[in-house]
Amino acid sequence: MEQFLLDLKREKYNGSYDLAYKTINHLRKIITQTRWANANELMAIIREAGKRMVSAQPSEYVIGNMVRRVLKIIREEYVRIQGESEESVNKGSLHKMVTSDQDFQDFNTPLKELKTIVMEAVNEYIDEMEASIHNIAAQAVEHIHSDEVILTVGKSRTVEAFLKQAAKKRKFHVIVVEGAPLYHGHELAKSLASKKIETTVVTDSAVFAMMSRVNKVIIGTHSVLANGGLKAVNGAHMVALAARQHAVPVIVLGAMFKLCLLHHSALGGNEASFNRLSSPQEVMDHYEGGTEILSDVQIYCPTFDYVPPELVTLFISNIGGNAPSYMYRLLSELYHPDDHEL
Amino acid sequence: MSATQPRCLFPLANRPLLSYTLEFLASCEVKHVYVYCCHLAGQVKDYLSKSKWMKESSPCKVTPIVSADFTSLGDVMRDVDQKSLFESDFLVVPGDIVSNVQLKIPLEEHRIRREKDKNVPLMTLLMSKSSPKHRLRSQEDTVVIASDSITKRVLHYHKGCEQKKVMFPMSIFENPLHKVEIRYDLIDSGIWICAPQVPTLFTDNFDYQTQLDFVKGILINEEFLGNQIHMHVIDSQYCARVNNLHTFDVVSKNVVSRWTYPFVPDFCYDDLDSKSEGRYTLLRHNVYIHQDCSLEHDTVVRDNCIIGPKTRIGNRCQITNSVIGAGCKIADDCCIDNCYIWDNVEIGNCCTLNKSVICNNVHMLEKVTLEAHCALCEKVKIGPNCTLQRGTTIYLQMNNDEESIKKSFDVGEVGNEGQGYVWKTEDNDDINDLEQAFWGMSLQDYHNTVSESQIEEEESDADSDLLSDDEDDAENLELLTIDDDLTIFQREVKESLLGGFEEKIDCDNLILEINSSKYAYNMSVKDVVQTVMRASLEIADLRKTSDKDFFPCLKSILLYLTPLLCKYNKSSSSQLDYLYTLEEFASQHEQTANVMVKILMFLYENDVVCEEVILHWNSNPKGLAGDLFAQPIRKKV
Repeated sequence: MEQFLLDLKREKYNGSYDLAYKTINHLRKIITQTRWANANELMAIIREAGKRMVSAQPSEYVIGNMVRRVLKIIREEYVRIQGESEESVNKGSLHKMVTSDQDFQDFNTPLKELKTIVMEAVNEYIDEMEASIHNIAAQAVEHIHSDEVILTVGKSRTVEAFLKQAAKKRKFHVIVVEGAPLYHGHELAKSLASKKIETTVVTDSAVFAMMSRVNKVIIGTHSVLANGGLKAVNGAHMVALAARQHAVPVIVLGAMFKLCLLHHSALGGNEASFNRLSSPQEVMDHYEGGTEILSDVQIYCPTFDYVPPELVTLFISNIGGNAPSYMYRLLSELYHPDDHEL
Repeated sequence: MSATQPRCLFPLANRPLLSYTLEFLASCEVKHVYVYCCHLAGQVKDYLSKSKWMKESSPCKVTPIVSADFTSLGDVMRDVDQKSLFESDFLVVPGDIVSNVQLKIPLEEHRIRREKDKNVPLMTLLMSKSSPKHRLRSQEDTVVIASDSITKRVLHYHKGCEQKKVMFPMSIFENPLHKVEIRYDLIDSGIWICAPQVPTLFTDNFDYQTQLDFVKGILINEEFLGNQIHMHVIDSQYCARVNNLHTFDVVSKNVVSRWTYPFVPDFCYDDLDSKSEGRYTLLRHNVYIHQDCSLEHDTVVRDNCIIGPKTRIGNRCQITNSVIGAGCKIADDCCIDNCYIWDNVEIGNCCTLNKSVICNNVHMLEKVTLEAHCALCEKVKIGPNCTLQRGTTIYLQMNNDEESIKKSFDVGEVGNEGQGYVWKTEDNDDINDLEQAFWGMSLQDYHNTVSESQIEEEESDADSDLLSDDEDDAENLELLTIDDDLTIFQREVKESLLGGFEEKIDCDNLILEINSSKYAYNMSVKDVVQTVMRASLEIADLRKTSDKDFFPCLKSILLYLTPLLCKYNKSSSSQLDYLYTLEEFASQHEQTANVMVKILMFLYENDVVCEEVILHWNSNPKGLAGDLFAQPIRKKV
């Protein structure tokens, strides 16, 4: 546990998929290795561990998502063993919530087979996660047509796989926005060019000028907020606005585990937990930045942008395409309302 | 200020300095840290035992070693040697470092160098880059370094800039293999990667006090000890030391503006200590406000501020560019700019504070004005209605008995209810000097006056630089002419060797003895080598009873002295010096000449002189006694 928390703090993970994978593996370990008598105790243990993991790296929402997901799995499996329908746990609709007069499940009955069944379900979920990138990429041909011009920002593994999948059948042109100051766009461009995809790298400032030629904007995202807004790489907001101006559709790729319960308004200007302000080193070297003349200059290096939902046309996840306005619905299927607050 | 609190526990952005150092080490995956606590060691140890570092969950093992006797880095290293703590390469880090450097690359470089050549590369100095007008620079830290730009070997190290000129030894430019690079854009970070021999060298040379002594010593003796120093320049990461108020100010600002990311105030440090429980929230313009503090109506906190836990600030205050610690009470209508306010400070109504440092538990009554560069030490009380001039320091002696505390305070200075004395330098420098001394322009004064008992916390030292500087000066005055020194030196070496041989003293001690006289008389390596050889021959000459038993006698002496001879034979030129001395002596003493071959054989067999050197000597007869040449050569063949 301590080692895992330490790795979280030191950002020793490679993208949000890796983080999600490590988190759920860790949770799986907790389920097998700790002692618990019934589902309620297990959920308390998971919740406790989850709280610590979330506070170690509050800007990574994926951790909280994984914890909630595991809690939901435990609830479902418990109810299934009890022989009731899943519906009663899900409280499917407002109508049901009001009309149902069922007793609330207390999850206190000790069940022998719970552990194995929960483990099976968790493993199944991990398989689903592993397949998510392929599932998304498989939809590529439906969205990318021949001779289209696609614009993307920075580097996203999902976008990379998506474009490469499409390139197997279609010929198209990709414009990569470099994404200063980290310039991850350069890496993506290199990787795409190696697969013989026609690629152009442009500076961040050239986005608006290029937009008139673009047919689709396809970007990855760090996470998707409950209102359908995005927490995406720095610069994504500008790209989305330019796309809106030119009426270019913006397609966002992201697996379901990136979908989280947070609303942007709930963050209330709390920069630390939404954005990540890293060292200004990338923007300006300390060699220059530490001089007397620049001592009163504030230099910022934010990592993320908030993209409001109205700028996003389509959200493609491993289960298919959805409009951002539908996110709340997906959320209620993914997570149990009692777990919203860990 | 450091009289009551060790420097490594000074709160930098509301966290003790030491915690930055340990976090930095932990982030570099250091497994075991020995913390040498000297000045006010108890406090450092208490802090460590309460912190997360001593808990089981700690990412690295921290062992405090407490002793008030260590007054310099040299003492610490000698202790390390005595306890033989390290068998492989290790890091030396001062306890006041703030950094986010990843040490993997320099460590790897160091390891490769060591693999290539077993004993030669001794250590790697880490340097951080800084432009000449950089704010982290202070005068005392100025270094000029000549290095080889390919091998990164340090050829010359010059510290301080009292003079406008820097002298480089010609020898570094003469070697055609060197691509010499002279750099002024570096700051010594104080981080060294050391080979396990380093503590031993400190023991051998017991006059080494500081890092500077050591580096200089190694560089001067490079040819005869055969050790080299390399450096690694930290390119794009942050690394700085806090060793005076000026750097304290600069580094605090850097932490607030996130150069030290991820070690910024809103980082999750996981302290279990109740004082710093909870987290800071980052607002726009680098304002960090703790969850647990309260700001009253109309109080404005502008750019680059930190406000600590349980602090209460009254109405209509203006706070800019300041760090305010835990549990402070600030009343209404205060104006605070560029200040560092530590824990549990109380400030009355309508105070104005500019660019000052206010230590723990200071109490300021109403309407106090601090002009720029003031410093208030622990538990001082000021006010009401008074103004401190620019650059004033107020202190309160803690250790003195009651009477002296009751001794009248200067009411005009500290106000009617004030408690504290104004710090004055002994020779009544004008205020400007003191202020500069404090705030980093010329730090020599600062150390001399303020920090007589400066902290000597773990593995770091600041003022012993000064002590040793003074000693150097003294030595320079004593310097006699070299010739005189040489004869005295020779006599002394001979005496110690003779004494050593007769009483069978351990050879290591002899080495020590010779080394110390070498420094006392400022001898070069060459002189030492020649003197040692000559002395041993002379001793043999003295002790022989007849011509026949000269060689057995000499042999027993040489056998006894082999470790000593081996000590100085690191380079081929020293070995050659042995031979020339031998030759010179042989030309004057016939018996020696007769057994020359045997001596050579003996030296060769005991690895004092290697084959190439003998052959080289043989083929290049430029010796001192030309006419006798033919003889040894013939015999040798």
